[in-house]
Amino acid sequence: MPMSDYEVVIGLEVHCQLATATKMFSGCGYAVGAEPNSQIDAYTLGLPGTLPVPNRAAVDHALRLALAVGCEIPPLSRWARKHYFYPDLPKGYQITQADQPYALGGAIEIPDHARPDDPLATTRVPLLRIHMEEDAGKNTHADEHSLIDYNRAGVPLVEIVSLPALRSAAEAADYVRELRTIVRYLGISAANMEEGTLRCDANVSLRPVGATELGTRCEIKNLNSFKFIEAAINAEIRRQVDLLDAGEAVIQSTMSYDPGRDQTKVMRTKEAAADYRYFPEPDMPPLAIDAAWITAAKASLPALPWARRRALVEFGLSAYDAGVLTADHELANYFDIALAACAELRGQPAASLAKTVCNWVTGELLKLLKADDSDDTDSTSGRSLAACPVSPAALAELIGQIEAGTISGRAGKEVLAKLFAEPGRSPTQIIERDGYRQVSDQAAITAMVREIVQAHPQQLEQLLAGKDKVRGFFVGQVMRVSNGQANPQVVQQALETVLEQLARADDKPDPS
Amino acid sequence: MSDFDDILARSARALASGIRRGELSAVDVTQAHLEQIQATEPALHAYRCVTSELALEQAAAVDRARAAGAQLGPLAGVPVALKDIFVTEGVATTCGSAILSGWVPPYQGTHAQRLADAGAVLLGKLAMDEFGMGSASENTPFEPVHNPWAVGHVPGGSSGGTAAAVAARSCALGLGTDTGGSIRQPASLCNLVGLKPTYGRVSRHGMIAFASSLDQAGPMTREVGDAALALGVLAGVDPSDATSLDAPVPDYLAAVDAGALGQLAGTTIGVHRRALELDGLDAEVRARFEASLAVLADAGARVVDIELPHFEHAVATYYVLCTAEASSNLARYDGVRYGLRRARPSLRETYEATRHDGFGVEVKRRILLGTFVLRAESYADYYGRAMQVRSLIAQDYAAAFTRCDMIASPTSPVPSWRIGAKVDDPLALYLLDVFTIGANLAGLPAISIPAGFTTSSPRLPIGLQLIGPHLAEPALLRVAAAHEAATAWHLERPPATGAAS
Amino acid sequence: MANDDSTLVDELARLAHLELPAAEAHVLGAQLETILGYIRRLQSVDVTDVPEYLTAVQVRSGLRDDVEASTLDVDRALAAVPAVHDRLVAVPKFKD
Repeated sequence: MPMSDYEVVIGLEVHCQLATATKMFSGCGYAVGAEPNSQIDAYTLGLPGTLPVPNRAAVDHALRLALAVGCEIPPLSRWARKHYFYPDLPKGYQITQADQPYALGGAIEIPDHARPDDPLATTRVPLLRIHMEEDAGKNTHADEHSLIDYNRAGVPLVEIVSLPALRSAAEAADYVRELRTIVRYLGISAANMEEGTLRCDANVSLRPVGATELGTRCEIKNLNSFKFIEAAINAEIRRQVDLLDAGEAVIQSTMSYDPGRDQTKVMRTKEAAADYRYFPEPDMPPLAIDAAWITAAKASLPALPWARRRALVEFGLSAYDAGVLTADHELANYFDIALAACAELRGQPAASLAKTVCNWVTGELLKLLKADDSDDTDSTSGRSLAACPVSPAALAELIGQIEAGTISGRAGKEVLAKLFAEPGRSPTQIIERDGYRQVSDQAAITAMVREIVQAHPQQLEQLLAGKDKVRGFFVGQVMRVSNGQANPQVVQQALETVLEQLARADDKPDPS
Repeated sequence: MSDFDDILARSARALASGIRRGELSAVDVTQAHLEQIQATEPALHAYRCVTSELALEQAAAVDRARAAGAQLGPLAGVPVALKDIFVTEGVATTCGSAILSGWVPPYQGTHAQRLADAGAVLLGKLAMDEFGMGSASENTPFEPVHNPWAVGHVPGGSSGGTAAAVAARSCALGLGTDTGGSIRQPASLCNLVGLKPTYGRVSRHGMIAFASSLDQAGPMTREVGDAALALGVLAGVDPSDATSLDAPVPDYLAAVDAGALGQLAGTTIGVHRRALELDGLDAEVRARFEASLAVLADAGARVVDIELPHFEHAVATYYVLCTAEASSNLARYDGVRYGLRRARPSLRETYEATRHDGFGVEVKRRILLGTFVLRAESYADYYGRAMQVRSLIAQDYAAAFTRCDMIASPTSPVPSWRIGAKVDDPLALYLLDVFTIGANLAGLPAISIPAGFTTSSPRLPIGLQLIGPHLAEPALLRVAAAHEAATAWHLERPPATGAAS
Repeated sequence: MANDDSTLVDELARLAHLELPAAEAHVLGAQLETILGYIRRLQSVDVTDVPEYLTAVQVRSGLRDDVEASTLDVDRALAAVPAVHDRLVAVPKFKD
């Protein structure tokens, strides 16, 4: 049957590495990119006699995420052992949470793909659970050997498991984007897909439209970019449609995605799946998260992306602008501070300046930061913003000078560029030093206009004949003569005045 | 030499006070024990390794510290030896297994550290059943250990090396571990005091895991006071063990001194009579048990009957849970990061060959059984059910302790047996744990103390066990001390120590 | 029956990554059956509404602060690894 007769059902398992100083179960430091096997301790190596001791900060990070997405937190959860032999798994088991995770339910809000006309319309993708676990090491494969680096082993992870509620590859990618934004807002993870601090597995199944039972699912492992999430899921949908159309059954399998061929392929089928022999971890007591801890964690939650998006739209920004500003927590914070400072400087309501400040932040500032904050790359403007030589207060000062008419907008762009080149200077210093202050002296500009009008009688004739375009020629001439320092608004007014005077002079009888 | 005889005759507590007072030099005390090791080892094979140089250095440091007027720790100069299950930085640790051959730990375990901090002198590491799995110290690729009371007989297990060394005076006190009786049963078979503390009372960090929810470290000594002295050093919360108990450490020696006065009025001892009808309970063991009850009653204790309704399910429960945990804990021995590796062309074959050659048959048996009970298809019927029965067993004890202060029983249903006599019937050996495993399943403190000897030849020691409520170590030590004060079993010396009593 | 046992024991050995030659599998399989027969007595215990045992005495999450506290001599630990190439632990080549 045609593809449109199938309903696509997708559930995602997203692993997110928690940004703590030490590992999940031992006081072993961890830094990405360190020398191989330098970030290890006795526990990380699984040495005999070592025991896991859970990291309070990791649990707190995980708790804040769970509360941010509305999970229920049972008073007691349990650690469990999941067994499989793999050289990157030092103990022969991974400590995770099985039947009693620390967080149940919750939802991630994503844009509603059924209402593309309304960028603020969202749907909630329900979660099954979130649990904590420890990461494994990393394998590389040489000619004769496989080589293992245990630096990453034991690093804290949360695994966020959605219900099979996503209906397209695009929705799936949006879900991961929203999740990434949330964990970055919370400051609990770098959540960088390229670096592997955010990883995604997708369960994909098809069923005839209208069916209530789920079809057989296949799990695509290790989707390490937004592009691959979409492409791999679409490839898997195509594979399953082809199978079903040919009258063959989908066999529950673990798949990998080959980007070169844009195809998914079977890694192993369920029959070959391991028996993980889960059981409650006897080396640690159950984890107790009490009401006081929950209250404190809730109090520490920042305003989250959708709330901020809606607030910005209420402020008069377009949904698009709101989306750009809130895609990154640092950027949203930068904007808020700059806007407040600007409003105070100008003594104006913030709403009246929001669009202007937004344009400066999302336009010139990001351009200068060379930050590509488009969704499909991992580079965060947040990181660039942290190193931004122009503080939100300085940007506000600059915008204030433009709003006050002290400098032109064009000059403002040049001043901003200079602020980047010369960190530490204030906008006002540069305006004064480099002579950006624009001339607003009405008499001087009027004199300038009169001179230019008289010097170009042909163009004046055209203007008086109704060719309004010629007006721009005169303004341009004045700006040229004034080295760009004439206030364009004042020039416009002066031109009106001069033209009126000329008109009156024509009406009167020649005095001579 | 007679000076050394005097040293070897002293309890650990007496050695510590003698050294503290300057009557004895720590170096002499260590030297005496090193010589005793040389004298007894050819017959006993209790030691896996002897750290003579380290011991003499540590002893000299104690003497220097004393000369300089420094405050000495509670075990300053006392020569101790550790079951080879304890991780000792820089000292080979095999856990009785070929799979850890050549492994020299790069970190220090909590037990070795606390003993060293208390001034103890480390004489060496002691033989054991591989990974603590056994009741005779025969399950090991190394030499079997002999019982100093009857060479050719087993010392019990799995802490058999510790029991033999302490009994033979080749260390002043020893450390064992107890998962299902591995401190108490060898103590019983070697006329010693063996104390398994409350689960969590002593850290498990640096004690190689057999069954994590059951394992507990404890002292093995010739006298009750020495066990109290050692427990005081070992007990207390450890940030490296999340299951260690954050409870104050009481003055255990005070409890012993109170008990030595021999007054047990107000103490109620529970006896589970039904358990004594067990097939296979040796008649002499039963007789000595009744005699010990009479000793306690004479000191003023009241003896009452109690019921433990799920008693007969303890062995089955225990062997489901301990094998499940063992199969998991032993998954790390894969030849990748440390210990034995049997190089093979493929990774899978390397794993399988390493584990085949590295583990002995009892360990394999338990790994297979544990793997079975944890499989998805058997989990609910085996592991899950055993965890439920474990709750019932723990409830039984809690109910019994509303009627008594502690429960008395024989420690082992039989005295020692000849090496090799019981190696072919694993289930029969498992059933010998019947009196001891309840305390492990319920996390309770328990002590085995000398209760006399068989009348047969050779004379074989018999032990009395006392099990108390959580953290009732002081009460157990008090009653044990009263029993010790009223008997003289602990003063007897085994023939294999070279000197008569 | 014996055939079933050896199948079970082989399956367990596979899960446990233990090489198990036929002779050993035969002996161990028989012993396992005896022990399991004894253990199956647990099926007679009424466990209705009985919770699984929870670690004794107290519930204390045992959490630690997020502070570095490693004292491992990493080079010594790596020196004990059976095969190391440029600080990486080496094993026979396998497919991820």
